[in-house]
Amino acid sequence: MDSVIVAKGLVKKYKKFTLGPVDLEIPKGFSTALIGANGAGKTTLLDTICGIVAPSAGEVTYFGEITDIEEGETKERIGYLAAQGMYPMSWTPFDVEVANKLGFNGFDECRYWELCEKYGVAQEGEKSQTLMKMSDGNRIRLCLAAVFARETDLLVLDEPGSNLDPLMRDRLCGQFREYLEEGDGEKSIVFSTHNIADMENVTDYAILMYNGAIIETGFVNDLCERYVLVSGERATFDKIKNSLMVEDRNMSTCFGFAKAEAKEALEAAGTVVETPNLQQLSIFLLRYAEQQNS
Amino acid sequence: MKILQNSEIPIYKQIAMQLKEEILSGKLTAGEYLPSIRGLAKDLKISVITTMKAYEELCAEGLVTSVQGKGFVVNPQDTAMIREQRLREVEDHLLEALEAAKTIGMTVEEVKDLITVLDHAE
Amino acid sequence: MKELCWSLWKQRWAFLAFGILVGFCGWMFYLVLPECSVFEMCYRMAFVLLQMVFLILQRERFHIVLRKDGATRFYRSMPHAWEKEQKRFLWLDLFGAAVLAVLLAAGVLFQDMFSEALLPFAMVVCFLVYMAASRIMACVPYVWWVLEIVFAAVFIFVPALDVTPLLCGGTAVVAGIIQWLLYRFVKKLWESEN
Repeated sequence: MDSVIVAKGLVKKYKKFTLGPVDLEIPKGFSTALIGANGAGKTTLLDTICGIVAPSAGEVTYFGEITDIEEGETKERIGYLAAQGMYPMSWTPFDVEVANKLGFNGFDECRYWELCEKYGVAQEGEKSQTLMKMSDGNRIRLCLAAVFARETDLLVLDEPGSNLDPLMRDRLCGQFREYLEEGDGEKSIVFSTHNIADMENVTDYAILMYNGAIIETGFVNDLCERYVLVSGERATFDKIKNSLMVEDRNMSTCFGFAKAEAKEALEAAGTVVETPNLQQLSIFLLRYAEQQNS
Repeated sequence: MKILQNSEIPIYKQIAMQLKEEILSGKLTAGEYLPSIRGLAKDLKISVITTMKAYEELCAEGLVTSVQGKGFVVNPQDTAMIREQRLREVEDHLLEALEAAKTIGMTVEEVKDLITVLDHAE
Repeated sequence: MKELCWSLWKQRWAFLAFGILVGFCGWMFYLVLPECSVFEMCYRMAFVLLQMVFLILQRERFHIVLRKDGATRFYRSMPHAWEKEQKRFLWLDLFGAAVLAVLLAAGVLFQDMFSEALLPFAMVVCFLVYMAASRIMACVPYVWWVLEIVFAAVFIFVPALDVTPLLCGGTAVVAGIIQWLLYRFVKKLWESEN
């Protein structure tokens, strides 16, 4: 697998939270989702990878060869967007344009205003409304317009879909696909989310996080095939308890989650099994991690 | 291409099946390139990995070949051999149908009539 | 030019507030030291005012604006942000230095017009302390108000800096070293973890 980012032994220590040590690879030419609950360490991981904060330990390789993010034009090639936006509230869309032009070489103002209009944020004449007066959704749309208006090879977006309405989220997914098509295998996207159902149809590779550690990674189809969802009667479930990672029992039915290797045994015991989708997989794996932790 | 979003058949399978039809029927000719995986993903509003899986399945069946840096190219199809394969498939299915018919006491004439009715219904 | 105008316009309230403050100080100075000539008073005011202008403009530096508004992530995502900042404000530093140099020269040339002896070395010391202060202010935005007020008060109210050339020279060297160390400290602060 061609990787755009490879991290080994990455650690970031804060007073009340430690991320890692973490090993991960982000595949090139695809869209990767970083999935986890709030507080799992997604923002910390993305911050550390993008040079927003310095790691406490470990090394990261970018674009196959660069090991220091401050070297050359590496940061120029990475389009980073913080969760909930990252411009001062007193700024206007015009200020955002000026700032991006100053900070980055590959920023195209025409494209920026085009995208602002496409996302319904501001017309060229309405440059003077401050970010403070905008709604959360509009603010994020503005930030997205600014990051998509830059010439980049990797987009790193922290919770881009969280504050968007379904229509805008759909547009965002379309924008993701366009970006990948433009790059024809050379451009990649990493985004974090705590609600994968919204972004499932634009996710190629998934990284699941829990409490500062990575619990699973893989291309979505391979990943989902490593596990099975199980459903059956109470009596059957009593028999197969030990093969299950997670169990969910109630009056009507019993659900379970297990590794795919146990499939035959589970079917033989009289349950029905199926391959989970990414949303189901995430929920069960995170529950399993929670169980292991308590 | 016609894709059902909420079908039981996974999308990648639908894509593979339809492309297979087009290749075998000659709509897609040998040497022609399939749309890029990312372009198709964009048009169908699905993930890149889905189109990639569809194409990989076609590759595994020998219908297309992956060319580094250019995409997936349609292989020349041996029409006689395909016809042979399909004929065998039809034979197998008909044998199955005949056996099932025998168990409920249907005659060969009744089976033939059923075939005609089904064809009209299509 | 457009950027300079934008920066000046953004800070208009700071200018106004400080203009009033300095004007008030100047008036007090005039009352306290009535034998001081109008020329000298204008000269001292100009020195402080120009200093204030440049310090206010320094506040336009990205890492101050963004830090003040909690938006350091944007700054840190920029390639070579620190170097770009220094380059972008180089014109400001150079222009400021040039104007102050002219003022210093005027102070030396016209020192007969001053009621007290204004030693050139004292002016140099003031200039270097200003440079050091501006670096501090460029990095730690709230300290600058205090420093600027203190600096302005000292310069307005202390009639003569009666010091020997050696002490002046020594102070200048120390001020220069402090400035360099502060610069390095602040650079490290901004490049290290948040």
